[in-house]
Amino acid sequence: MSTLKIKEHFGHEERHKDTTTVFGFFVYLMTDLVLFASLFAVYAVLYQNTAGGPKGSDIFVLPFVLTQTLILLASSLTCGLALLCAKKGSIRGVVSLLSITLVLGGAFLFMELYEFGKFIQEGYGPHVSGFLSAYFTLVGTHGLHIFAGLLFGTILIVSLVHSGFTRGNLRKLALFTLFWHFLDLVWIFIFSFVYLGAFI
Amino acid sequence: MNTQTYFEDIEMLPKEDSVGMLAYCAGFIASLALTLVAYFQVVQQSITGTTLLLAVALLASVQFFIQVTCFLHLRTNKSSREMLAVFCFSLFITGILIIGSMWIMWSLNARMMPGDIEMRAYMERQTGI
Amino acid sequence: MQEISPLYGKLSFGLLPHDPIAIGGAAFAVVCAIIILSFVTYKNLWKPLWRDWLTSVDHKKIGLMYLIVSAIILFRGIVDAFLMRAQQALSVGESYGIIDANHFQQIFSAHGTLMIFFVAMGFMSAIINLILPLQIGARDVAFPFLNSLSFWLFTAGAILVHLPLIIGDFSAAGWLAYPPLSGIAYSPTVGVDYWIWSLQIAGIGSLLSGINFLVTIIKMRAKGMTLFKMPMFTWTVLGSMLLVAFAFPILTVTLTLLSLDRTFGMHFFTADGGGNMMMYVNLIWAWGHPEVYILMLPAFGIFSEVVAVFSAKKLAGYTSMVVSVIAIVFLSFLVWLHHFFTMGAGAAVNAFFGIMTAIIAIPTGVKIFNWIFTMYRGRIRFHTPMLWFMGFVVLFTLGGVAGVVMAEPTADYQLHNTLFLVAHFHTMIVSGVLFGYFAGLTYWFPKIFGFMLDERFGRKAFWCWLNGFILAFGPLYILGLMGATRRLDHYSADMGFQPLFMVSAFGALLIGLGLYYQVRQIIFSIRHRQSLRDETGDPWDGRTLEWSTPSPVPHYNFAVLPEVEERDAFFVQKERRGRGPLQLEDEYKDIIMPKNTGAGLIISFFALCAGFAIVWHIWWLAVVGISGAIVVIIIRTFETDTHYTISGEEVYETERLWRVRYDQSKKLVL
Repeated sequence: MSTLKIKEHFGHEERHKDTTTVFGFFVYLMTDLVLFASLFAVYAVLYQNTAGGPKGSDIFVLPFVLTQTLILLASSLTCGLALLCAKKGSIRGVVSLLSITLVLGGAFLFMELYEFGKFIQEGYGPHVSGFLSAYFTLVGTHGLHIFAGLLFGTILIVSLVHSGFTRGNLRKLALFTLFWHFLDLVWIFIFSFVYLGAFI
Repeated sequence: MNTQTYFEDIEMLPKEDSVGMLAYCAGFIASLALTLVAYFQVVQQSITGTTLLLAVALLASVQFFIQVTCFLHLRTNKSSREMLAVFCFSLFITGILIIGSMWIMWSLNARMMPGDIEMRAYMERQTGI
Repeated sequence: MQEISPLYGKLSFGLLPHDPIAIGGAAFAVVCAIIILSFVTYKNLWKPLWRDWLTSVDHKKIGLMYLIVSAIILFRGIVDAFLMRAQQALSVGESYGIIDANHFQQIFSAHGTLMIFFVAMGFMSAIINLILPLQIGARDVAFPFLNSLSFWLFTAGAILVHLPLIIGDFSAAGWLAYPPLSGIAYSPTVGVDYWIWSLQIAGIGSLLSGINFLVTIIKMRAKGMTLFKMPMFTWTVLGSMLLVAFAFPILTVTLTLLSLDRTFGMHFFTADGGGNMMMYVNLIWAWGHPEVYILMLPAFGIFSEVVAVFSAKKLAGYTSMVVSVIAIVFLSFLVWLHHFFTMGAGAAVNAFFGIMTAIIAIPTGVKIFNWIFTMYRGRIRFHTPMLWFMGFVVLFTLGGVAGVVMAEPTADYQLHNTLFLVAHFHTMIVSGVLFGYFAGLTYWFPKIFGFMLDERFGRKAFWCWLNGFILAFGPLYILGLMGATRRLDHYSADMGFQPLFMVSAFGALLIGLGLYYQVRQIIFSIRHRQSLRDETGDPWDGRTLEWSTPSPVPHYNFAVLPEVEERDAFFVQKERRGRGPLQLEDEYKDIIMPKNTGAGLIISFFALCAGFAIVWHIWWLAVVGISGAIVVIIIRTFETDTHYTISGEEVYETERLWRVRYDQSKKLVL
């Protein structure tokens, strides 16, 4: 496939502006990293405070969480492949791969909400103990970010279908991929230390 | 502007064309493997305790760095240098915050008076009351 | 159990103020608001206000708006201080003063919260906005719209934090609201919720600013200005913004967890259910300590500029100054436990943080020595900015020494939470941060407004502040050593504290007189602005790029973006080709500038609604507020008409007129 030339003017100033935007968004992601670090610190301090309620190994279902993890990892791959399709100039490729990314992300979020719902129904809600408060907040914040990503991605797909490879859409695609990969990075540690960690 | 060069122009992808399917697929397979190894180690409990914890931590850290290099394309080349500097500083803060908090809270918790139940149990043992 | 109506949440008429001082406070706030709104309506200023100011994305206008909001809140904060000083001077033995205990607690909580989050942070944002882009030779910050959003989020937080004057009450849990006192069990009223949500909203504004200025410094410097050719103020802002970006998320999390405890009954910091309230103290100070360096570093940067210019000498030890900034940035994340030595951690933990605290005094010491070395053999002019520096250098060193005393954990066991601590941190913040920002404002005033400040009133103001501060806080050091606990609204007569409290109250009045002189200075200078006019753009013989522009600065900042070869770029330029504006070019290129937008204001309005709604449990309004903000944000991301062009002819005309005025003013002098 041949590369796609865009009619919008993209001189030195525009290049600098978009580089600055990407850098700025990356800095924001780093502040988000510190946000998650604070939540991890809280979890690390409170995870043993079960206040007569369940501990992690009592309620977490590892195969379920493994499935979630693999789904999110796969979505990270499809997201990266979407970026490559944009490089090649294939709008169809970008839209399809982004859609798959969002569907996988949606499945991940659905599974997470299902898990939360099950816990709450069984009486293990976030108001029960320090451990559960910390768990729901840490994993819930990650879920909230995933939801924001789904919103971001959906609007991006609509925009791509509507306007194609404009400078704005390419820039948004760049930011989206950064965001989505970042969320998988954070999930590595949630999976390892919250879920696997409960059984060590 | 064309889509081929846009992502390199805005310093998101490195300029070499070696980036492509290879980086993403290799990164994916490596992450997959590391995830599964960690999972099965914990499920099968072939190692236990602190060793297992360290193993899982190591596997997580390796996967982290693989995803950072393969998915985020954060390397030591010129175009990523500023992002890399901010990234390293973030890791420093993250490390201090988590490890510092854990150390401090452990020390504080260890020096707390025992709770009501524990205190009563202790007194019972000591005095038979 | 409280009735919560689905429409009004917890709101009820019974929560309006009902004691004289509280009613006075509410009435004053409402009357001020009405006066301002009426004035604007009467003078038909709404349209130009909206068009040119409220929707502005120009860093200079945003900086000015920050300045106005912060100055107003400074007055409120000082009134709170007067009330506290009066209470502690009068409330001895049999007498219980003029304010009851609960009200006193709300006052000291409000005083601290307002002064740190809204006055100090606001002044800092004002000065950085006004000056930083000029210093690095840029046309604006990296993200002008985000800059406007940050200001309006700050203002939304400022409005929310003042609503307790009118309905409900404020937090009585101190400026940091430790649980369990700030938990729902011991603070069942909305006070702590007001505190949480006004800080959350303002905090997000600060975080966005931090990212914005960080990216601005890294990506938008003039051509040739490498990191080691940046002015010192720029370096300190870089350090401070790094701290903002990485410390504020901790605050966001901690406030959220406290609000989850209060609103949804979770167990992060509760006494029961597996909570650990010590974790709150740990996290809030992991943010809190970097926060004080966030405020302090730009003040240090201002002093570096002021000392160099008013000693007519380049700053001594530039490299060691840069290294000390970087050291402070790293170290400020390694000392936070010194705020709670007495919470009971073991010897190893306390010793580690005690040693790190002692170490962090060193880079600041390096800076003080470098400023003194800069003055040595300089041609010193004691204009007002330099006076503020002199006051700083003496008081800050003494207060810093008090800090190093408390850095030793065993000494701190005696001094923690006494008035000695209160005296120490006020010395740091007033003589460091506040004097620094006063120095910056008086130094850069002619650049921002185009006319000088009257020197006589400036001097009067300084001496009142300096002596007032010594009289207000000197006694507090002594009282602390005598064992006086902080935050008490009553002391028994046989402690013998009253004489010192009376001296302290007198000192507070003197500070009030200083503030009065500052207001008079501004009014006088505005009245006489024609005779105080500065057409040169460089009244102090400055060294850095901001002085190369006309005053006030035109909206595009620089007609031609400067190219830099050395440090103190403007000074070097003047040495090579003399003072005065550069040669007028034959023609100037069109300049593309970002367009004004009301989106920042509207998003912040929704945020304010959401904050108010969550405080009062009006859930439908909370949903409206949050969704509204998100929708406007999304719409904004699709806005393509975001720039306008300033024609080359307009630039030419502005530049030409400046040179004409400059020549005329030079003729008058001769």
